[in-house]
Amino acid sequence: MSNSTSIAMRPAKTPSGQLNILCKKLFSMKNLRGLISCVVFVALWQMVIVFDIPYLKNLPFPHDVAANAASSAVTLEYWMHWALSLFRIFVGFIIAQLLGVPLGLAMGISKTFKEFSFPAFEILRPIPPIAWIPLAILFWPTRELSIYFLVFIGAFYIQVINSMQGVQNISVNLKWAAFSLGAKPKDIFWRILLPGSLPSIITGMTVGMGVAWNVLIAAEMIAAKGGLGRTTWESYTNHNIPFIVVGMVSIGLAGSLCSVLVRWVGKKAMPWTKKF
Amino acid sequence: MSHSPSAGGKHSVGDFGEARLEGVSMIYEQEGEEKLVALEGLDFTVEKGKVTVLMGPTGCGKTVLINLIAGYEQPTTGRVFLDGKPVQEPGCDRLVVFQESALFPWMTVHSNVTFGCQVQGMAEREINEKAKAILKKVGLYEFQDKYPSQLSGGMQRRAELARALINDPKIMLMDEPFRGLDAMTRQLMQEFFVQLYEEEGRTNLFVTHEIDEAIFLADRLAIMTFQPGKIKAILEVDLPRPRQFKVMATPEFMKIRSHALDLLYEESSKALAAGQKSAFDLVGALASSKDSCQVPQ
Amino acid sequence: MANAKQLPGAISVRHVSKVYDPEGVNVEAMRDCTFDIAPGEFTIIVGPSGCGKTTLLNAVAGFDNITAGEIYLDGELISSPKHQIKPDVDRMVVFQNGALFPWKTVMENITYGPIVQGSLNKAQAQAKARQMLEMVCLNGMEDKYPEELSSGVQRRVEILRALINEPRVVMLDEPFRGLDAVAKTVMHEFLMQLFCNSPRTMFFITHDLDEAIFLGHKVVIMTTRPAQIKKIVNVDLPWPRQHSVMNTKEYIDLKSEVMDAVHEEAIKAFEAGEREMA
Repeated sequence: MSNSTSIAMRPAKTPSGQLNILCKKLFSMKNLRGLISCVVFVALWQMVIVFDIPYLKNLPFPHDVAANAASSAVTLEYWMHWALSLFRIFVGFIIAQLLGVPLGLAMGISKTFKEFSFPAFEILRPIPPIAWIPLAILFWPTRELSIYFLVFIGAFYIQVINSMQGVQNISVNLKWAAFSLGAKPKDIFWRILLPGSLPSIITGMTVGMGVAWNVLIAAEMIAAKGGLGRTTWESYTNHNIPFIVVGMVSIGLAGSLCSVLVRWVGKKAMPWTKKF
Repeated sequence: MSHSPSAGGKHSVGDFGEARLEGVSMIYEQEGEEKLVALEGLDFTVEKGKVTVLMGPTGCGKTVLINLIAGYEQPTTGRVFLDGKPVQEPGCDRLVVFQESALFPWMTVHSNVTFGCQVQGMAEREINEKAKAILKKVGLYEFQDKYPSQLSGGMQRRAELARALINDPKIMLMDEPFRGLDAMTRQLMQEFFVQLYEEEGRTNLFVTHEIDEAIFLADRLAIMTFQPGKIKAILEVDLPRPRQFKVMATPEFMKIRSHALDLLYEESSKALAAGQKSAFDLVGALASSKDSCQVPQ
Repeated sequence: MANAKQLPGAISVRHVSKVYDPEGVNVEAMRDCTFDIAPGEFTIIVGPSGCGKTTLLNAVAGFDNITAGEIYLDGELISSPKHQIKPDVDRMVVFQNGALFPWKTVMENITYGPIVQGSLNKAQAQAKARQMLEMVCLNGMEDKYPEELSSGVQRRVEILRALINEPRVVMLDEPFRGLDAVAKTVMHEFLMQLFCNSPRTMFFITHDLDEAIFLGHKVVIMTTRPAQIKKIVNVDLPWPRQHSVMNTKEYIDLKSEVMDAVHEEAIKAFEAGEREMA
């Protein structure tokens, strides 16, 4: 029925009409306001330094940072740090998913299994991942392995909980409907429980990815050789202040790149959630 | 599995689907709470080839009754039969259309509708033929590759009907299937349902809160009592078929309507005595029921 | 109308159109609607979903503007493309999905309006609220929180909260949607009683045709989008009405007339919707 946001009169789909709409979108008030907010931010930053505001006067100038970023971006070393950090994230993150999803699903499906496993799990879960750093360094033979482990911890618990809740939140009506239609347990698992918990699993991945980056940066600053976190920390010790900012921005970029990727995977895996 | 009306030749779909409940009680016991008697000593027969509509105050056990016939729950005492055979587990000869849509959101309309056939291991070619016929019947053939979230509420309900009908069930159990639709769509769905029924004559048990819907669809209108749930009265709705929406503006219809409303009043007021929140609505009704308000001045 | 007393609340809708324009895509919600509501008249608007009934309500209430035409309240221009007055307590809206403050009791909810406006002091407001609650058999509910009430009682309290401000117009947007048959009957009697006791202009949107004819002086039937006036049916049943009126021939004839018109539009809307989605 027409209770959707349906449309009575569409403009003709001519190229000029489309161009018109595109222009309207591009120069919309929303985008204009967004641009203003960015300009004001940079201007404030500049003024903080120019006017010698106490405590903040050590900030580098925006243009120094930009220059530093431009010169770093052409070095191989800078991109090696990116590659190192991304690689660590993916190793830890993927292992966390490979173990977390099945464990969570099992807890969600079998009450008995949950009663056996969940209490122990709940004792370890509240420990912040960063608190694992000393033990992880002692525990694993190499620094690299301990960093993978920490990233894993960051993403693992979240995924277990989300997968478990994903299964538990599937409406009993869907399961009943499937049974009525003659589904056997294997059909229920593969065609109902697994896809039904997917939205929750993807949420677990998105949140887990965020936590994983937090943990990674902390771990790199303390224990790693190379990586975006490490290089940012080292520029502090070398007093290369513009690069501290470049490093920070790089970390932010890398983090959002990863969440975009996760969201893209989610969209591909769940075509039914896109509307129209 | 599903029977086929064409196979035997002499039977039509309306010759099946007689659901009988004998002395059924349903008691829920929860730790630390008083036990809830949802149904008690209920004897009830859903006559084959007819549309039986169930009405009653909230919490009178209408959904429980559906679940018992569907085989989702087992009665505390008493027995449930379908065509003389005891009901023990869910099966595709008794299909439920749920209150909120129970389409699988991650499957296209086509996969939803053919789910039953697929898990029962039917051949692909046969599945596709059946799906095509049924989707055309409910007017969703062009929409078969869409996901449920891409459909309007009315289309979702038709898809769900199709998913049940493709299995050729002996009885359809409709648990407030049109709830949540806007009034216009709802009316069109009611007309669609009536038309479908009049074509096939399939046995239907239909639960609803809407009195107009109930009378428009029903051959028999059963009104349930409030906890413990029993059948209070069964009204025969002898409005002529085929029915058009215009039947709702006839004196016969309005007569049955006010009779049914009176019976529902009584039950809702009992619910009030039992302290049900929703039943407070009746205070005003009982106080002012027959002599409405005074004219000012 | 039922009362010859000089009441305020005359609404005049003159050639009103509304085109929504999100991102350059025109959606014509309403086209050239003209009709009048007399003071103290119970006016019902029916029509297919999404046909622009709420658009009209929004314009009268002051939530949104119109793109052509004028709307007058008691001769004063309240809405035109160039001029749109703000929402005010003389035009109260009761929404379909309840907007009682959950953290306030029934009494606090009802007296909130007059107290913040300063039109009544607390004692006066409470006395008035108590009187209103008594009139509709809701006394004893004063100290309950909305959460403790059934949805039907919540709806009634909300209507009282609107009425205590003595608005010129009360606008109700499908207020009884989702209530069951018995509860709806009770609500109709409640409204009938309120209306008899203090008549005022009602602007009532609904889908339920029995509700429309039982309550209305006048039923305005709108077409599917773009909404136009399809038909205006005057309901000449005597006031106050009781449910037994539904079994009379006059009632059934009216119902039949309204039903035909609405059904025709419902099918048009359905077909348009189906085309759009394909």
